[in-house]
Amino acid sequence: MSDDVATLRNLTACEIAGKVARGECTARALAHAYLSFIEQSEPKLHAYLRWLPDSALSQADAIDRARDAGAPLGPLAGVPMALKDIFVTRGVETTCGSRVLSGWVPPYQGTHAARLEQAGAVLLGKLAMDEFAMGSSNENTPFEAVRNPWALDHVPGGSSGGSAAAVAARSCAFSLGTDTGGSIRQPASLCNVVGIKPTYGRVSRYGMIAFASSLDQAGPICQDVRDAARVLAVIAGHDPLDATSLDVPVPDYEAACARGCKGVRVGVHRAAMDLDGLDPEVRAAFERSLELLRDCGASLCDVELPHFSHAVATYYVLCTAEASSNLARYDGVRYGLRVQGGNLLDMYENTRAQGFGAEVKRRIMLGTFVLRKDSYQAYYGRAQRVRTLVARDYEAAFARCDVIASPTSPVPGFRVGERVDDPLAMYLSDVFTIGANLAGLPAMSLPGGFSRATHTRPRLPIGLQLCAPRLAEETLFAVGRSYEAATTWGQDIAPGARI
Amino acid sequence: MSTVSSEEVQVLARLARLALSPEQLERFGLQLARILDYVALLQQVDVDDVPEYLPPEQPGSALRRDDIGPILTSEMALAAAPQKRGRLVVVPKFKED
Repeated sequence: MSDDVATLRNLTACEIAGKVARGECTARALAHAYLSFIEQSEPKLHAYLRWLPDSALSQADAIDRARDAGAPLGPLAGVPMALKDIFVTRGVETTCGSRVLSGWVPPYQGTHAARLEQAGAVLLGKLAMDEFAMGSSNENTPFEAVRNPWALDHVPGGSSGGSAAAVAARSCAFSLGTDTGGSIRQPASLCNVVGIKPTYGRVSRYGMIAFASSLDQAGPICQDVRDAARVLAVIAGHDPLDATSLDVPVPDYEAACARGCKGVRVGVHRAAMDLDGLDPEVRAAFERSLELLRDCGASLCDVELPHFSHAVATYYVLCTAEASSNLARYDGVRYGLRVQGGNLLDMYENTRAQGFGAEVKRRIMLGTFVLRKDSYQAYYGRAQRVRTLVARDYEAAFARCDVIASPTSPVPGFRVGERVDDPLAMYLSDVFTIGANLAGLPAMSLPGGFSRATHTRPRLPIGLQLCAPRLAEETLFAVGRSYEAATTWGQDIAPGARI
Repeated sequence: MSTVSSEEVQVLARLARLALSPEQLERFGLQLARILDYVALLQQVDVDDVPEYLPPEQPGSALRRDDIGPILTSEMALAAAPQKRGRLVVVPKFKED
């Protein structure tokens, strides 16, 4: 590969948009550089479910023509990006990582794809994911499992594993993921990239295939904090097509990146550091990150989240209940897979049995159980009440601090196949991320260091999570950028970017 | 350790419209029991007088102006149906004559 192409792939989204606007490189050259690398790396990485050379190059040409004609360009003009396959794209197959939707070509455009196109971003393709966004490793898939660009025998995290792996490998300049219980932040952590789950309602859910509607939220996965600020500003804001999208102005997130974190109060829930299963290297990296935040001018204080240890159980009752209801629509009648049966009921049962993978079935069954008349109050109703307590815990904590810091994932990553037979152990890897979903809060994962290479484990990325009050994404960008500027590990490029 | 029998799993599978093999019924039974044991943690929480969660901002009324806007044609809407007859979706018989 020529140096030129490798150089183009090392540019951030903001740098690319600047170069395209100034005429220093063409959108076509950029799209071509990325598409060539995708061809080369995909046999080993499996981050993409499909890529779209023809439409990407024609979108890029349209940007170049607009620039040549002196037309105004959007904030992401010419930036090659890719979408998790949960995002509906008109005319482009969208499967949500499931056999049940294989071959489905949506007749409409989701808000995310529409707003990114409007901003000039070039869609390279659709990214792999755990089926219906259910999973933390990308192994819940009927397709090839995505590999971690830092160690190809390791998982990239999930469910937005393709989105995080593609950014880490520089096979797109940025991507979008979705986060129901940590599905943007945990893979961002495992792949050494920046991922933000916005406040619930900050970004539209129109054209984002539903898993658990009261928790689902879309957000960017990027190379750095400033890119995340720019992309979030493009996709955020009220959407009349989603009644839960908030009708509040979108602040200048990029300006917030320059604010620094002097005087910011960083809360730490110390009791969580005694958690069983917290890797000692993750803990050590987190303590180092706290020191760095203090060096940047932040002050530290202890906060209590008394229901922290109940969050995972609460989440798995609520998200499975919502999933069992949302996924009832896949019945083989109007779209997607149909497996014939002697009567309508057999057709439903056969279609869903063959269309869904084991984890999706497990969650539908659990959701069906907790919503049954006999168990509703003991499970679903109770979990909804505990959710109130979790949200109140955060409210009380934010009276004492501006942002709560924690590790993103309790472990740096794990090998492909290591946890597939233990669903509960997999669920517990969401322990630090789930609270923000239950309380509807914004949270960001940043590169927070690396584990040391040993004879049992390669050098792997570790994530730092920051969580802020509702609609306080600006605080995340201010603190996140300040921390990022004081560290070097975010600039390390994964070996998978040179496959 | 709680147990979920194959018969109970069969009932859930039927409610969820999932055809499962005997092996799957047994495996899901064991896994569901383990997950339900973990979820039993919630029974320890005092939730007396705690309301069910509601997001801080409830969606407002989303009434739109009654204008004609872009629509899907019936061809577009039916394009993905697995089996069609003209402008109808074909399904197996579900009602006795």
